[in-house]
Amino acid sequence: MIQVIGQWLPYLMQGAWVTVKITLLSGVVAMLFAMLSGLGKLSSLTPVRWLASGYIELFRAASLLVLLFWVYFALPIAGLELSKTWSAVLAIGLNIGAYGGEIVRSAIQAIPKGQYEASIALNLSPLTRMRSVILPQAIVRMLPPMGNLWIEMLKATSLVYFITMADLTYEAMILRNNYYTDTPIIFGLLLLIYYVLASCIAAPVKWLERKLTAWR
Amino acid sequence: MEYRGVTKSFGDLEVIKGIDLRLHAGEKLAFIGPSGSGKTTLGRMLMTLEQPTTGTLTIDNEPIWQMKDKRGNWKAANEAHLRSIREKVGMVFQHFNLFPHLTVERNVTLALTSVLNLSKEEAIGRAESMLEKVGLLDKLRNYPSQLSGGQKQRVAIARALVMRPKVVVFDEVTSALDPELVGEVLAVIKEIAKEGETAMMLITHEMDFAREVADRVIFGAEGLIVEEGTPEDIFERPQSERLRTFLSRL
Repeated sequence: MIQVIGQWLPYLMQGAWVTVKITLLSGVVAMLFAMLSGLGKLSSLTPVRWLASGYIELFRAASLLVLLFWVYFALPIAGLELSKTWSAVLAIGLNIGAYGGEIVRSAIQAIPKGQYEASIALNLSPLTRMRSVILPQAIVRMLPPMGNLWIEMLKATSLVYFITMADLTYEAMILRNNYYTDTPIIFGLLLLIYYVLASCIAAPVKWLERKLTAWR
Repeated sequence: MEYRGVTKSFGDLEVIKGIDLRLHAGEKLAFIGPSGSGKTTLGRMLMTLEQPTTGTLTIDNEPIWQMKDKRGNWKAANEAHLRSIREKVGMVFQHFNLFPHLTVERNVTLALTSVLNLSKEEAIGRAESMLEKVGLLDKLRNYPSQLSGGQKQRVAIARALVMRPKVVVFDEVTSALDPELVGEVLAVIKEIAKEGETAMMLITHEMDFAREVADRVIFGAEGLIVEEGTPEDIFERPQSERLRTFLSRL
C-alpha cells in the first residue's frame, strides 16, 4: 500500500503546486480588489461609492464556476484571450475580492467614532487618519474573517478542474480512473492534503493576529 | 473666541437655543449645568466636530465655518480652512479616545511629526517634557490598555496640550473615571491652568474644581445661558431660581 501511495504522491504534489500557485495569485488579486472596493464603498465621492458597491454586488452574487467559464470561454470571443492560469486567477480573485470588500468595509466601520474625533481634534490629515489610526486597528479586525476567506478560496480553486487545469483535485480524479478500487484512499489523501494546505494558511494568520494585537 | 447667536438642532431637537459668548486669550471658563443643557455640543462646535445650525463662531475674529473666496465673498469652509482652525483648538474627551494600538509616546508624538512636521527627536523631546508634567514619563513605552483610567486621561491631556493650541476644550474629562481617580486628573489640569497661556473651556460636573480653576463660570440650562459671573458670583450669590435649585441638589 505504502508503495502505491509513493507512486501517487508525485502526481498529487504536482497538482498541489498548481493549487497553491492559483491560491496565492488569486489571493493577491482578491486582497487588492477587497481593499479598493471596501475603501471605495466608504468614499465621500458618490461615483466611487457606486462603482465599489456595483462591483461587490455583481461579483459576490456571481457563481464562481460560471464566472470561470465566462472568463475562460467567453472573453476570448470578445477578443481577450488569457491563459488557463490567468483566467482562473482573474475569476477567483474577482469573486473572492467582492466578499473581502465587505470585510474591509465592516472592519473600518467598526472602529469607534471617538477615534475619528480624536484624529480631527489633533488636526491629522484624512490620509494620516486612515493610515496611522483607522487602518492599523481595522486590519486586526479583518484578519480572522480574511483567514477564513483564504481557506474558502483554497478550496474553491478545485473548480479550475472544469477548465481542465491539472490542479490537486484533477490529479486525484485521474488517479481514481487508474486505481478505481482505491478510490476511498485516493480521496482520503486528497482531503488530507487540502487540510494540510489550509493549516498552512491558518497558522500564519494566527501568528500575524497575535503579533498585531500586542497592544490589547 | 466668540459665539454669536449660535443655535444647534439635531433633527427636530434644538439643543442650543441661541448663545452669545466670548472667551479671551488664556481665560479659563467653566461650564456647568444639568445634563442635556448643551454644554458638550458647545465644546464640540468649537472643535469643528459639529456645525452650528445658525449663528457664527469665530477664533481670532476668523469665522470657523465660513471663509472668503478669491473675490472676497463668503462661502462654506473647506477642509483646508477647518484644518487651519484646528491648529488653534484642542480637545480632551470624556472617554479619552487614545489610540489603543500606539504607545503612550506615539500617541503624543503622532500629530507632532505628521501635522507640525517636527523631527522625531524634537517631537519626542516635546512629548517627554509634556508627559513629565502630567507625571507619566515612566509610561512612555506602555500601551493605553496597560494604564488606569486616570493615567489614560492624563495622556490624553498631554496629547492635546503638546500641540500648543490657543484653547482646549475639556469635555467632562472626569465623568468616566472611578471616583478615586478623579483627583489626579483634576490636579494635572489645575497645574496646567496655573501656567496660564492656554485658554480653557472646562465642561464639568465638578463644582469645587470649577470654582478653584475658572476665571468665569457659566451656568447653562436647556440650550441657553442662564447666569454667568465669577466663581464667587455663581456659587455664593446665585441670582436665578434655576441655579439655586441646581446647586442645592448637588
